[in-house]
Amino acid sequence: MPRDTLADVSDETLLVLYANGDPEASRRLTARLAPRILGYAMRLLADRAEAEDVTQETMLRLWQTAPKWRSGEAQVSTWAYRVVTNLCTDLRRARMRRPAVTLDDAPEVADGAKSVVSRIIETDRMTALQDALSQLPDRQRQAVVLRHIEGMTNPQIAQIMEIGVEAVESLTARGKRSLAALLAGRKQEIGYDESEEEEA
Amino acid sequence: MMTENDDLDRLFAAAAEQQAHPSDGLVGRILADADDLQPKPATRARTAPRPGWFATLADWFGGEMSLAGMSMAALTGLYLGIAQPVPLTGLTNLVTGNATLDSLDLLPSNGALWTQE
Repeated sequence: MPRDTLADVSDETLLVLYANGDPEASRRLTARLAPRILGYAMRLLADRAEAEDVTQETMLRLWQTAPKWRSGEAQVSTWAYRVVTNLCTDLRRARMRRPAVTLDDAPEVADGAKSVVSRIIETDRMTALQDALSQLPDRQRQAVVLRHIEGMTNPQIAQIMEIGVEAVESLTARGKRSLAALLAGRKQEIGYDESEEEEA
Repeated sequence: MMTENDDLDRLFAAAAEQQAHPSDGLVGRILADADDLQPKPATRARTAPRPGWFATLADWFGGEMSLAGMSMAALTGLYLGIAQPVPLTGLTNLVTGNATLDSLDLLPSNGALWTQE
C-alpha cells in the first residue's frame, strides 16, 4: 500500500496489512510503537541496553502474533505495553540491578530550542525522577509510569497489568506518595522556581 | 506557591514530553525480524504432473515394453481365435477333442503301400 495512505490507519489495520504481506506496514508500526515501548522500558529498567532488548523482543512477539491477531480483542499498543511490563518484571527479577541511568542514558529532549543551562537542569530533574522511580516497588513503578508519563487511563492500565481498576488506583496513589517522599530530599534539584512557573 | 505535588506533576509532564529515540541499529534489527517473520504471499508450488492412466497401467505390468508385449500377444490370440487359419484347425481340433481317426490322415502319400491285393 502507498506510504501516504498508511498515515491515518489504525495500529490494528497496519498489523493486518503486515500479516497480509504489506512491506510498508512493519515500518509504520515500528515508527509508531518502538519509541513508546523503548521509553516505557527505559523508565522501568533504567538501562538503555536492556530496554532496547525488551523493545526488540516485544516487536518480535508482535510480528509473530500478527497472523493470529484477533480483531477487537485488545488495542495493539495495550498489548505491547503488557508484553513490555511482563518482560521488564522478568528482567528485574532475573538480573542484578545496575546503577540508575546516567546523563548519557536519559532520553533525549526533543526540544532543541532550549538553552544549554535549561537542558542541564531538565536532565538533572529527569535523572532525579528516574532515580526515585527506580526505588519504587515494581508494580507501583509500572502503574505510575503508565498513568503519569505514558498517559494511559486506569482501565487501560488495568488491562496492561492484568489487575482491577481499583488496584490500579491504589498502586498509582501509593506510588505517587512514595515518589513525593523520595524526591522531598532533592527539592533544590527538582524545584521549579516562580519565574519558571510563570513561563509555564 | 507551589506544593510538592505540583512539582511532581510538572516533573511527570516534562518526562511525558520526552520521547525516546530508538537507535538506527535497533530499528534495523526490528525490521529485519519483521521481514523474516512476515507471512509471504502464497505461491503455487510446482509439483510434478500426476501420471496418466496409461503410465499407471504400464507400471502395474512392469513398464511400457512389457505392456506392449502383452498387448501384442493378446491381439494375436484374438486374431487367431476369430480367423482360425486352416493350418491350425487340426491342431485346434486335437486340443478341443474334436479330432477322429477317420479324418486324420497321418501318412497320406504312402496309402498305396497298405492296400492288399
